Amino acid sequence: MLLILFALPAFAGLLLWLARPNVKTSRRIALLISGILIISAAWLVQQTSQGAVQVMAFGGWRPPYGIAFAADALSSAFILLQALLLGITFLALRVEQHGEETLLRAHPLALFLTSGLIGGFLTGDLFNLFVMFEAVLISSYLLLQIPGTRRSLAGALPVIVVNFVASALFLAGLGLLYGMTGSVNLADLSEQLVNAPPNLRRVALALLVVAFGTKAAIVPLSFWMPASYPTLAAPLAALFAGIMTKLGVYALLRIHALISLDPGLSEALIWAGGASALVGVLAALSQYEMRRLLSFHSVSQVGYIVAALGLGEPLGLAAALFFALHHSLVKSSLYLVADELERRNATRDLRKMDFRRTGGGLLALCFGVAAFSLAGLPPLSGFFGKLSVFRAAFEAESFVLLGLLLVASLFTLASMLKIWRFAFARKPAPKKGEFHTQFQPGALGLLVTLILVLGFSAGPVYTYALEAAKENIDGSKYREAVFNAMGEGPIGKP
Amino acid sequence: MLPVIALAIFLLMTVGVYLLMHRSLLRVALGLACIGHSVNLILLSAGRWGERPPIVSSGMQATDVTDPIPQAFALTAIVISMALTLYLLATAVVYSRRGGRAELIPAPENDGEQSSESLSMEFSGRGERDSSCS
Amino acid sequence: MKSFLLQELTRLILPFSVLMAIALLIKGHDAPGGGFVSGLSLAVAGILGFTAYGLGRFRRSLKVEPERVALLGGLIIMISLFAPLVLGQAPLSQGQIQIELSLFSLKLHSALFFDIGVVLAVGGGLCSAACALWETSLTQDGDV
Repeated sequence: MLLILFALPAFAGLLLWLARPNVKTSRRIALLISGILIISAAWLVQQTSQGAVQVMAFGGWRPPYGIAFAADALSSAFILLQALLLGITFLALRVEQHGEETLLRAHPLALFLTSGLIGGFLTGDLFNLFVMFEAVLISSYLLLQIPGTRRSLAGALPVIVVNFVASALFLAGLGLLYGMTGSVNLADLSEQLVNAPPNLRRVALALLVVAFGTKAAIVPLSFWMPASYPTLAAPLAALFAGIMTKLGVYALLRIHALISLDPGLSEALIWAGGASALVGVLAALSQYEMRRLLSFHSVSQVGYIVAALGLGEPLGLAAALFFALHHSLVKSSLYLVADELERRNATRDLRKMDFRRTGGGLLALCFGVAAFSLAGLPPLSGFFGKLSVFRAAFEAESFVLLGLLLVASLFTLASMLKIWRFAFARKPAPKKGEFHTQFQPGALGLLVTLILVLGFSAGPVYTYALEAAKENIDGSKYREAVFNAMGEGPIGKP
Repeated sequence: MLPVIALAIFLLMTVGVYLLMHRSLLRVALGLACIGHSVNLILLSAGRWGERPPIVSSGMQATDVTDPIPQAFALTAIVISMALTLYLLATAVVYSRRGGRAELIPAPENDGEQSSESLSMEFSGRGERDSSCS
Repeated sequence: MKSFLLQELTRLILPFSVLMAIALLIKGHDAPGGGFVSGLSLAVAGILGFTAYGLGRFRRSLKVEPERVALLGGLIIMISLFAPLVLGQAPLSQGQIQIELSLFSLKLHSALFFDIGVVLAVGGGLCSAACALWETSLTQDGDV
């Protein structure tokens, strides 16, 4: 089953690229695949929610000698998220809006991206995680190049360079860990590192944290991010904004047991998170281009997640997981709204947007739900996300962080109101003409529904996140499952 | 042997970071390659490389040789960094063919200043295309 | 860049480098070599081919785009990932057979199938990248 989740998208992507069907068939196949993925991911979530861990060892070698895929509650939550976002992206990619060529290229590449992401979420092996990171990055570079314009070429270069350096740091840290323990299996590492020399361990783990932090775009390492997706077709930008930083967040969550061996690192994560939350939102406030504004917001929101993660304890990790799920959905839907706004107004500049071209109605409703969820107004998912982060900060008696985050969320509300004021609530300009275009909510509507569902079922989802967090901190079930992947027996087949 | 490897790691990393400071993409790519190789040396030295022979010949015990797993790591890392360097250089070539200079500079900014025609071109995916296979 | 000398040399070298690639592939499981190296030497052969004869003729004689070769390689890799499942084993499991011929013995692994995929993916991928770069850098001279 784990293999299907990982291999099906890659297989389908290869077939789509090789067979080059026409757009309609391609779109149908892509939607079908994402449907299957959603169903199997939901099944996986249901299986692992009781604390069971699904494991599959490759080649009949028993971990820690062999490579294993393992899915616990944490990984299956992220897998389900990615499957949902993929389906929505495919739904939002339309021939009429984005052109045949974009669709034909985007379908296989997005499937490869998904395969890499799911592989990354599943793998229980640090080196395999590196390979999956690279698979994700390479497909994302190719996706970034789809427009093929000078701007997209130039925009992708800093992303490639920064991520290359981050990957190099990741590998260096991995090399040090292997030199210390002779293992890259996460379950094995968490046992062996306890007795490792603390200074060397700190260096190795710090390298990993910096590498993952770069991918997650937290503040001192985030400068590549806001410039990176300006030319992407909107649904793909939504996918990127929703999930790309989350792979870094997931990796940090996954190695949390290792990070928590070193209190200094957790401390660093807390303050980096707090700084991201504030700096990101201040940068966002000063922007007038909606996509840039939103990507600075991503920096800010990832800050909340990382700060919660640094706080540790089940409360912090649960808050991080819940907030990550909420933020992916909200950020994706805001990107879709941004695209719709830009297309109706034929400009990217908020100042030039006109209320009458924007039209109110459904689009305004969608924006309202997503934006006020991001800002954290009560009945919506963002409220519960922020509440859980604040609670974790409160319980940890980290009041400075609490203050930082509260200020940041005030600014978040302000920046959302800014978009609202410019795009939706502005006084009609004295220009004549009818601009209103037909709006089919489709994918956006689905996303907004998901946000509402997450908001109204916050209780069960939070319980799930809390269980996942407890399990992640305890780690015994994970270790047991991974080490017994092949049942009782020798090391494995010869 | 280990101090020599450590020195090599240090030198490669220094050269790599120095080259990264330049704007020219060619130098940046070379710098990235240097960093990649320095990391590969770190990986290899994690397997106690340099103390024991790296290749098994007949009649040797498995414990007589270097740990092969870091070698596999390094091989994978080499493949990936090769692919990325190739991609970076290809991007640079295509970019300079389009009239840009192969330098790491901010993307041409036309924040909101685009005419509606060019914007709609971009949205419908009918901008200028490249014909690269990959 | 159509030089007579290069073309004749290529004609000589090309079969050998393909042979070398095959040898590296088969011996590669427990001797130095393997799918990746074999793919590289195949790609070098391809690059030599189109440098000597020009891209047009290279494409015509190859009859299939290198890009598709790479994708086919990827497909083979995926299939070999799944194949052991059909036999009721963990994915990526291996088996081996020993073939005794009169002159030499040959050890064949089921991993060979996987390696063939790697050869095609690496060789085809590098070749297609090189073709694309060659094409872009020569369009100004009109030499292709």
